[in-house]
Amino acid sequence: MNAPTGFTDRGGSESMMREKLSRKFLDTFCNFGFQVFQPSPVQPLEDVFRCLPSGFRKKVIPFAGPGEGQRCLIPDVTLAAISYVTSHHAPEERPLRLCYVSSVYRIPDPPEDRVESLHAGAEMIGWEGEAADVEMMALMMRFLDYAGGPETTIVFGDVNLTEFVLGLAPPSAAASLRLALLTGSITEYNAILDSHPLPESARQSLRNLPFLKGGPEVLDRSADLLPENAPLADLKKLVASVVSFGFTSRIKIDLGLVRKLDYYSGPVFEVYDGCSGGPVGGGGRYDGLLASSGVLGQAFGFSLELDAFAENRGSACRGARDPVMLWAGDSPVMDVFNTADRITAAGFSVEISWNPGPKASFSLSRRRGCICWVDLPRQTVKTGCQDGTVTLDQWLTESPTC
Amino acid sequence: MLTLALPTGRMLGDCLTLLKRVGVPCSALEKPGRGLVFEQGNIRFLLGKPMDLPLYVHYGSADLALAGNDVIMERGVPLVDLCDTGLGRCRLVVAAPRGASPPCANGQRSSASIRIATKYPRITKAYFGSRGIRPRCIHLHGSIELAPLLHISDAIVDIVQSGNTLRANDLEVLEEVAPVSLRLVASRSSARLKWDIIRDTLLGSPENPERSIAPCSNL
Repeated sequence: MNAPTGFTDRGGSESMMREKLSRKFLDTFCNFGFQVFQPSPVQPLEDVFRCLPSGFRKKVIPFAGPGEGQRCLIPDVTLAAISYVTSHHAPEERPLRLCYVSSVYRIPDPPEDRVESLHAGAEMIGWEGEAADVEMMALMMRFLDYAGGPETTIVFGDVNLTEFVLGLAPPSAAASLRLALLTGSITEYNAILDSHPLPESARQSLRNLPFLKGGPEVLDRSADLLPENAPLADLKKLVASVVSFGFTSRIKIDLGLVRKLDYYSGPVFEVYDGCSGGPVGGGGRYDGLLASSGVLGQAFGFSLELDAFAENRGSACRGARDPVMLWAGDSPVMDVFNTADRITAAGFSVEISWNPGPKASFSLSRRRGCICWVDLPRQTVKTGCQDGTVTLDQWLTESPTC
Repeated sequence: MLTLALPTGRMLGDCLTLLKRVGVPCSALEKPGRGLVFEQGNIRFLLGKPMDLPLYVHYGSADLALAGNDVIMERGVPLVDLCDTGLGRCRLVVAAPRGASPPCANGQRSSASIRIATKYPRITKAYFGSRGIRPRCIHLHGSIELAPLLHISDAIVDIVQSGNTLRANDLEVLEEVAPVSLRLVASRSSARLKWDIIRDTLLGSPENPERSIAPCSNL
């Protein structure tokens, strides 16, 4: 029985990596007071449709029953998180910090066929001021350093700024221009501009918008190329904070950035993996979505596709423990587990081998790629990088690695 | 270093003329032989079938490609369409045997039985689908005009430049689906992460707008 198209049964190094990344992500955020949120994989279709933009609705996977009403597989965790917060927490409990690792289900763009992907994300709801945004970015960058390494890049934009500039065009043209930015068609964007009569200054600002990309210095250059009262302050503050963490070379600006999920209402960003170069997630401010759920205040969140990191790195996990095989022989079970505990405490992962003979156990350890084979009855260790054997106590004291 | 994918076949010559005009060194491609990968200056060139170029960009093998918007639409891959080069202008049309009923006219035929031969099944389904018609697509790889003559299909969806091939096969244009031309496309990540080098190499900087492959630079 194989998983249906769009879904995958996983095992081996990739699933180990997903597990490690999930744990690391939750540890990173839980250490800073975030509570783990576990959304149901099934959501009410009507509520999801009400909150998602029309362009995104076609990605939702609906199904009928059991029970009343139409359902869908969860396409976005933020909606579920907000619903949870509004129904489970009183206003005086804010700010609320939630983090999650959850599968989401979307019909993919061609040529991809994957429906299910593992997302890790965090939401900070109800804290006023830029400190909330900065805290979230700092923690996310810590996780990215672990999962993606120093090559991971963050591209910033600002929905308020984009809307301000698009607002220089008549409403019908602004909608078409927004769509052109969303679909990435600068050719179409320019054609729309050419077909509408506009004051020259507005036309020039609109013309500049999709080309305002590059390093953080673009923000300074933009002040000369956009209207004087363009709302750049929020984005400048956020970028300055991330720069102050020492991430200047990993920051890019794209003032024409429009995200598919249109519930954002301030600075937004997308994350690009240094390994594959592809997008691996994003987020931003979504005060408007929060307000639409009857909660006034500030909200900031993001989600990252853990699958992308797991696939790109396979077994080369930063901080992965080297595997060791422990042959139990006829040793008492208690001794076996005590020794296994000593090995894991030394920083290794251990697989206990209950094979009756050492030969089969040793050959299995080779097949598994274990760096050492421990002969518990003899209290010795064979390592891949040393001739002969060393005693177990000596090996554990020195914790040799190859 | 930028990687630029170019189409093999008749469009390659036009692409090279365009690249030379904006000062991109590409003499290595003038006699490519059987080679498919070339490096010159700060650009790595990949040569591929036109229909495959959007995929090279999508999967990150190339930062950019010069590809027709017909193949970009057909692949449906999310790419950034940076500019229209103005080259290879033609039309994607619905054509049928002269005098035949339009295949999608209401009441003329049962929509369930419309058969369309095409190299572009995705575009065809989307185009007719937007009118609530679900055609039966016959996916051919060439000589599409033959299909109505052989009674394989009622109509075709194909690109037309002068219309001579259609006329020679007693076909006429019924509707235009989309104008087609050669576009410079980039992956979303390259358009954001390598913007400065893309702009300076192919789109012309504000100081050098004449070095843009767009007929009229917007920078």
